Amino acid sequence: MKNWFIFILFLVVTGFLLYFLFFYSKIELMNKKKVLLEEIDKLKKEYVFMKFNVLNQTEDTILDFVLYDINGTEVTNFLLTNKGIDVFVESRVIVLKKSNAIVLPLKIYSEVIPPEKGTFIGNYYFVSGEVLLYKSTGRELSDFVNNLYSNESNIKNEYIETSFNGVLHTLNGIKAGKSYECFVHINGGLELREVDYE
Amino acid sequence: MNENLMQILKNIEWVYLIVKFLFFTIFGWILIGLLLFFIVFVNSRNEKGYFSLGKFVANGIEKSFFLFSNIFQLIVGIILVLALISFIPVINEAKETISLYKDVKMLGAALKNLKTERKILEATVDFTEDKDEIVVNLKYFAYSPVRNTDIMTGEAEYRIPGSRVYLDSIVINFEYSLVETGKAMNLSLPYKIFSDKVSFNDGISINSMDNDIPLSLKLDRDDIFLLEKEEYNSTINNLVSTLNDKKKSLKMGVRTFYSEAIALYPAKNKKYTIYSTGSGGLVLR
Repeated sequence: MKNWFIFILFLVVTGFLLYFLFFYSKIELMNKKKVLLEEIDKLKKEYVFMKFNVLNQTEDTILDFVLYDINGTEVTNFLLTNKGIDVFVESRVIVLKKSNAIVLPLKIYSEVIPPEKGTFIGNYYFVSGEVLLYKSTGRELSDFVNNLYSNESNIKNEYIETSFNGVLHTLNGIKAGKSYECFVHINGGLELREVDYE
Repeated sequence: MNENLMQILKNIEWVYLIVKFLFFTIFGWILIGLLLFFIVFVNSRNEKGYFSLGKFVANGIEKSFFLFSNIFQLIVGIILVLALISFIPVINEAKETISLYKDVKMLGAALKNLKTERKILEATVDFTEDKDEIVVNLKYFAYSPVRNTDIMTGEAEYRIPGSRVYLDSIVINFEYSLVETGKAMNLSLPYKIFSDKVSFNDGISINSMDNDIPLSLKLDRDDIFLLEKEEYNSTINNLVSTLNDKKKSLKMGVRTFYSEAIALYPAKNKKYTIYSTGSGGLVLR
């Protein structure tokens, strides 16, 4: 009888131990899964900072540009005429060590216009010492970007992982009646895609 | 190994369900009672083969006495069944933990693939002695799945007027799901250089090829998995040729394709490296 009792006790204790082992492993794995999903979502997140509609494409191309802030709210829009069949969008990309990328569109030119003759567009979103694209991000980042825009070389390297000027353009030229979106990932990767005209 | 464990757990669950039905439901006990009745009834025939009430009663008393004399074993049995039942939450926890472990492993691999950066170009940029032109020295790289690293596939030098140079590449980004599962890897093919003074149309081609294969995709026989070199080359040629066809490229899982140029400033002893990223686009380091 004693042996039976010990055996049953052993089974019950083992059962409890295994239950708590699996229970806490499950909680640990659930937390890990949540973190991984968040990180994957962050990497796949696309911040559309610019959209342009090709209104007319005869001798000159007439383009309607829209700039968006980090929350996707329209900040400003403007019309530009450009020579050529393609649009080159040059932007300053600053990748921060805090897993975040800041993008500042700088110039518009084309396959026939060299960068030095491009149209500077910073004045459309840098108003009264403020970068409107990042105004809604909170005081700390907003001040950082304003400072960055005014004088990047003064920003300490301890905050910046890498920075570069990236230029987006299509492979075969833009088409009248089409819209194009420029977006950035948190690691600084820029992308361009054709979207349906709205 | 996980599949084997799941199978064992499934079998234990079957045993548990049978025991639960027999001892913990009214129908189970009715079934046991009927079986006992049947055994006693069958053993209650006299020598002539007729049913004998006296034998039935005697047999019934004998079996009942047997049941009560073994009540201790019955109690132990029930406690064992209870112990087994107490293992059911453990089994369920184990099943959920194994399933979560699989998810975490898969998500970890997906994150790694999205975070991957493949080296495309290494560049040094400097002015000529008379500062009239920029000299760009490029090293091309391709990813070898066998060595799991980026290997140098060629080198070239270009000169262009200006004060900064733009390295333009064709960028092909595949659907996130394909990249996450490792079925596809985003590509980038160096295409042209232009400068602040020289427009894209007047730029210089850097689309160096070897046997019609861009250097960024050129691999030797030893660096290719499964495919024969000729088969690999034909796959690459197909991919490059279908890029202009939007429907075909979408069918291949291409999410976006466009051109991206990265600006480089002349600097002595500075090495620029351009990477193609798993999430899409290029980065300079």
